[in-house]
Amino acid sequence: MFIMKITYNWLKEYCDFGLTRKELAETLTSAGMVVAGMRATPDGDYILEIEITSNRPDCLGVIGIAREVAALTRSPLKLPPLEHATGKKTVEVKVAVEEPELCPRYTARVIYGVKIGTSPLWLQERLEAVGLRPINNVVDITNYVLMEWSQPLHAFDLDKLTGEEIIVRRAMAGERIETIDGTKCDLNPEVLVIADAARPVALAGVMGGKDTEVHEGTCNILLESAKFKPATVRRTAKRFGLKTESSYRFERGVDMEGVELASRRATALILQLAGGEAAKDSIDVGMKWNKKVVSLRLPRLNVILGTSLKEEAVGDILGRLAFEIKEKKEDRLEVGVPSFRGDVTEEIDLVEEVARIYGYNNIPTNTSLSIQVNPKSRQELVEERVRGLLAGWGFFEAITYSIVESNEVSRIGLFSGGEPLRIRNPLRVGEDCLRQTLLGNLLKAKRLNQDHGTPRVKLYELSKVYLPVEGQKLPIEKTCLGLLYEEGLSLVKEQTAKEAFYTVKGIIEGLLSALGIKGNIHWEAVENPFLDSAHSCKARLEGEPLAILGEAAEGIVRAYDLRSVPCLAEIDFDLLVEKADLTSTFRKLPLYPAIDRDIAIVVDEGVTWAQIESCVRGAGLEFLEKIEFFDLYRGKQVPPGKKSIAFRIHFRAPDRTLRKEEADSARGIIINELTKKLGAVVRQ
Amino acid sequence: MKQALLELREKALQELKSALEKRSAEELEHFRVKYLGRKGLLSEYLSKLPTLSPEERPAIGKLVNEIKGELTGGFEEAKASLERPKVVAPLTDISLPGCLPSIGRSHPLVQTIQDIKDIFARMGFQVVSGPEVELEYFNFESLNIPPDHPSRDDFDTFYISDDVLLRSQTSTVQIRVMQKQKAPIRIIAPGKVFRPDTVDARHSFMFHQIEGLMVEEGVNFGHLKGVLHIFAQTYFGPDTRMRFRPSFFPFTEPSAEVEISCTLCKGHGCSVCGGSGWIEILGAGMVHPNVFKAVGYDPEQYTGFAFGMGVERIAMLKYGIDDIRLFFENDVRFLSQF
Ligand SMILES: [Zn+2]
Repeated sequence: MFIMKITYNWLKEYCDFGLTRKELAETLTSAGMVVAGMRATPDGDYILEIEITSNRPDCLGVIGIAREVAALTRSPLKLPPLEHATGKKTVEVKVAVEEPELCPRYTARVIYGVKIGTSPLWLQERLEAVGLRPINNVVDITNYVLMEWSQPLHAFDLDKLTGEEIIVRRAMAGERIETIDGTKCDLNPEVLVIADAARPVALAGVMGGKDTEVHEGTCNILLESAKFKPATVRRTAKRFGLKTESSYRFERGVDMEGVELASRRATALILQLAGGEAAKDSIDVGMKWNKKVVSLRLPRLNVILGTSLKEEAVGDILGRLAFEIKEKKEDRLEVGVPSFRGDVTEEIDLVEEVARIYGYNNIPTNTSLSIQVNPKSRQELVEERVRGLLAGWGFFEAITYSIVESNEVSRIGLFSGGEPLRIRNPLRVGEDCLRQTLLGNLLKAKRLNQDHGTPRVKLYELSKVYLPVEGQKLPIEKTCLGLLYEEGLSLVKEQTAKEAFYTVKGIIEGLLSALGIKGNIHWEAVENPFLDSAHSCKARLEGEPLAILGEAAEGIVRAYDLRSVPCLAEIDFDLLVEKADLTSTFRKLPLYPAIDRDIAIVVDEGVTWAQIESCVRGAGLEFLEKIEFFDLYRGKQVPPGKKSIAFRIHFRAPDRTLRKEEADSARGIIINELTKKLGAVVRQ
Repeated sequence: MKQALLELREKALQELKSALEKRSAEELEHFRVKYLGRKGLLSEYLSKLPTLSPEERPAIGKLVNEIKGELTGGFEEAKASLERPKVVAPLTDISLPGCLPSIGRSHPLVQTIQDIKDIFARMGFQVVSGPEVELEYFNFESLNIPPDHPSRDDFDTFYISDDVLLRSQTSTVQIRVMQKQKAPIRIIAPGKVFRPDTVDARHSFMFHQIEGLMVEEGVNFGHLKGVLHIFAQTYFGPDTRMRFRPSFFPFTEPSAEVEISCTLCKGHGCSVCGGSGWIEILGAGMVHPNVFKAVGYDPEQYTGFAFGMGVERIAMLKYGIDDIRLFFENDVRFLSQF
């Protein structure tokens, strides 16, 4: 988007449109040229700031906008006079275009005996109004015509050119040029230059050289007006960091015919304001412009727009935009495209032009759609379910940046560890890594909340981490679920970190259960320097890494300056989606009651619940339905190095009510097994 | 007689109540003597029983005994109550705040995406996603933005390598879907996009877009207007007006910038809409034939439209949020508002 500044009175010179300023702004805006601002000048004019989209370089000049206004309001267009007197002298300079592909047209006019001075006030005011600085009359006129015709011009001091020669060529390696703004450019053959017999004197389409610029003592000038290949100008401008009014227009394509018209207009103005005498001939090298003809099928137009426009209406709109209807064949118009509409090259471009002038808001709105139903994807269903659960469990969802700085903590996660992808052009030095874990950012968010007066938070993020793959251009984008959990500050009771660890483990188990994941989960110890070794672990689901969880290690707590110790977890969400079973199947409710028996045993510290559970299951009891852990106790009545574990066992038979004696005997068998295998002592 | 007994009961209960209210042991004793004493009123009635007819006798006798029981009970209770020191029973203070396990929320951007998805899903649009780290081809070439094309200036982009970048628009998903799937197509693709914009209250280098695409034989600009109208009126309210103006995107033609009547001032002009009464909410257009060609669709057979909107912008409008950075700070004082 380019903001083009023009003034109301200037525009009015070329099109007598009979609209108030406000109406003008509305009309232009509704045709796609958004008037973003309007303000008064000291001399009673108004500056309009118009957003011009990058496909309309013709509207980067007052005349281009005048053409639009004329088309929109059916008012006549009044182009400025182009005629000028000529003298007896001829152009002595020879012009050679060595790269016609890169410079399709090059024109030059010579004006002898100009008097360089300041421009008249009206000219200075107009330039200042549109944001240009007045310099001297000749340079100001080239800028004025640029703003008028959207055609960049350049005036050389003729006497500074060596050898009466202009060559449009590729620069040679080792050549240099200092441009008007003082930039020193080292050139190479990729750069198109304007050269005289000795050296480059301008970067084609971008900026002239300092040596040959027009100055106070200039007497004779050579006025260049040309068309250069957009990509060439773009590359040169980019290479030297010289984005100019000229380069911007050349990059988007200037009007093949406008090259000559603008040259004549500028010459006429120079003669008028700086005196001198124009050479009687002029130079024009390059291709002749041929009017492009594009076919427009009316039925096609109406299919795309959903309209029923007739030939007359379409022809009228195109005519107003200076398109020429060359031929009408049945439902088809052969449309000649004016030279200044380089953006129109195919049928769809004409469709858009018709729609634009007809008015998008006049196209009938159609809400009749065929019925199409798509079920929600697994991904969506799982996401919704998990988000619902986490909200219910008190978690707020965070969204953090995918681009992070590289630091130690970036290795905390389930999948981090390898070299991250890096951005070549980061906004801030050092902040260039695509994250491989969500946990670093959650810790930062925790810190921010701590600073903002919320000492305890429960946060989660459900987002991607980016894992580069050797030999592949694109990384694996893995969706992970990151959790940061702390029990809220309560006046009644404060949960210890150890309990937080079990709560987070419970959350993971709860998610698996809510998602119907029945596969085998294996919890194992984990070596992670960022997690407290006593309270951290890793989970595998059917052998695949599923989650890492643990209390933040002391180092992390210090590094982030946290005043409480959060429990962290990172879960492979893609794996959850893959394994989720969201169908529910009804199981008949049991007909007969269960009998419960509680058992409390004292075992060595080293004995795990997993061992106890498997020992119970291994006892081969027919009616064992469920084992439920309910208490872990150390302290009074339990010898040091031991712990007391209590659990409840449910027995049930499918076809009858169990007798008490059966449950008691089963309990006895279990206790026997526990004593034998784990050295358990029963607490009565 | 029955009537007289009932009246006596009524009177006795009142006297008992009054004695209790005054916490007067004296009155209570007086009550006992008057009604329950050996020479009390009830005894008097009992002594009259033999004078009644045999038919009447059992019923009246029963009634007297019932009343006697009731009054004796009341008296005992009142006596006990008078003997206890007066204490105020613990009262439930119903003005104390309720007790609820703390609950969290989805992120406001996620909620916004969800709301928008729901509306389009009802019109048959399927939710899809695509990679955030993308090949340049999907971000540019296939979307009718050739290398060195000046319109690339409109899309500043983070690069990983020469041909790998962080997508600067979700339009990439259009191409990926059409490469795999045949028409008809109705998709909606929410996701993150990245542009090297310096962060301020209005800009973020990472933000969210929702891309929509519908391709079907006979789909036209009128349908584009229709679908977006339905969306705007469902999301922003039934009074919402919408207008389209020409714009330019390389991958759609005709292209449109879509505005809705300001949600705050209803079109009268305010600071949110810059006084114009209108707010830009999305870009849209008919899929460019070159895009169809890039994915092997016949542009003569199929037409389609695409649209894209910035989620942050819409959420900011909907909730009146004035700083885009709040979305990514994750301050729970902010997150808990939605
Ligand atoms: Zn407003």
